[in-house]
Amino acid sequence: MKIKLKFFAYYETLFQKDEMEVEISEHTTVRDVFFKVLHKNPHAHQLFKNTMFAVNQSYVQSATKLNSDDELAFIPPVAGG
Amino acid sequence: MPFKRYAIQMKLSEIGKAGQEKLSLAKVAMIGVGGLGAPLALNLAAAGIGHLVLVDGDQVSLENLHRQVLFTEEDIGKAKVVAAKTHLSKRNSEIKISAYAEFLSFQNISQLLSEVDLILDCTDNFHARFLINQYCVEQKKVFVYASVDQWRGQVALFTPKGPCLACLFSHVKDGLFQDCSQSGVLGVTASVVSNLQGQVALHWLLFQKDFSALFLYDAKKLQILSYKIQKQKYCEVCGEGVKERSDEVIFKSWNEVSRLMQDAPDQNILIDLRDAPTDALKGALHIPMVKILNGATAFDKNKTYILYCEKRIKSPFVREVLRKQGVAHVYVLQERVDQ
Ligand SMILES: [Zn+2]
Repeated sequence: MKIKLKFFAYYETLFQKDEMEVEISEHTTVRDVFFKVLHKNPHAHQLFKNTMFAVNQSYVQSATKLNSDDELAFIPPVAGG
Repeated sequence: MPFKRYAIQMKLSEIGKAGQEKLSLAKVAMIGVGGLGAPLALNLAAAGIGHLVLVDGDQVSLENLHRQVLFTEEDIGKAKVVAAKTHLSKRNSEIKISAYAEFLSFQNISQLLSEVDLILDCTDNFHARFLINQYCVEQKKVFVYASVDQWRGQVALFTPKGPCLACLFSHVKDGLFQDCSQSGVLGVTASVVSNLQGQVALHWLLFQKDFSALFLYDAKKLQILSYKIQKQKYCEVCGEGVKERSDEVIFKSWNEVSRLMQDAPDQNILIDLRDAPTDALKGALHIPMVKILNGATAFDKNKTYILYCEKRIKSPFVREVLRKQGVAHVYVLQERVDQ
């Protein structure tokens, strides 16, 4: 099944785009998707702990399973002020 | 006529005289009078917030002027809070303004913030934000978080009912998400974000409105998105504490610790972090958190330390501080020790 990823701030810069479609199998969790798309990033674990995840614009825990056509957002904190 | 200067905002049926009175009775602290705080202070003073408490240890510099529109060229080199107070008082002499030319720290936070109704996080770093967050959870205070970097900003209200900032972002280290090559910002972007923060603050003061949302502003798309947020059961600050780290040794109860201490009393040290406990667990050393953070206590890097406090808020925080100092074996007792 397909889901849509939505990138904010840091992730938008990292992936050079603000959204992307990915193909996942059933029972895939938010966490699985994160590490799948960031597998090359040496800081993936640290980033993971400091990223808010939202499915269809609501906060979710990283163990949440995804459904077809979900929109999963990676929301990092913004640093300055 | 009292409140004459506020006549136009009082014309809003939701505000009226009753709303204006609420604002004039409010005591609001602004932590940071920079990119976010300076433009927002202008509007909050003008709106008639009865008492503004300004906290910032920084001085005005030439590079501030493009976005910190409260300041003038004559202010360069002056303490921001002092310059801010001068300008704000000229714009509204009916309100009270307190200026503290110091950075927020563990030592001064309760003295500065214990009397305020609402705290505005206008800081530029996560160290200060987590300090505010922890204090607010502990003291059941409300704060509005705001941050801005390049073309993006975030705003959220955090109340005692939760979630807290650490529910969303658990251990942010400054620099992790920064694109160090080009961190800049336009004055208008910082102003939009700070005024969005002001809007959330006024909604709280006037209507006790809690959006339970993180607002994301994108200045390139001219878009504000709202994401529903929720309390995390295992939040280290407002929840039940660490769970996700499988490598973490956690002592769930006093019995477990007691056994360990009987086996090797010299190796394992139990520390009571509370300010003034009337009782202590058997064998515990009483060292208030402030003393540790001041660096007044020496720790042996080869020993094991187990920390406890009244609400498990201080312990995880102190654990991280000690680990940064190279004390590897620091653990938290999960059982609550109520006063
Ligand atoms: Zn929390």
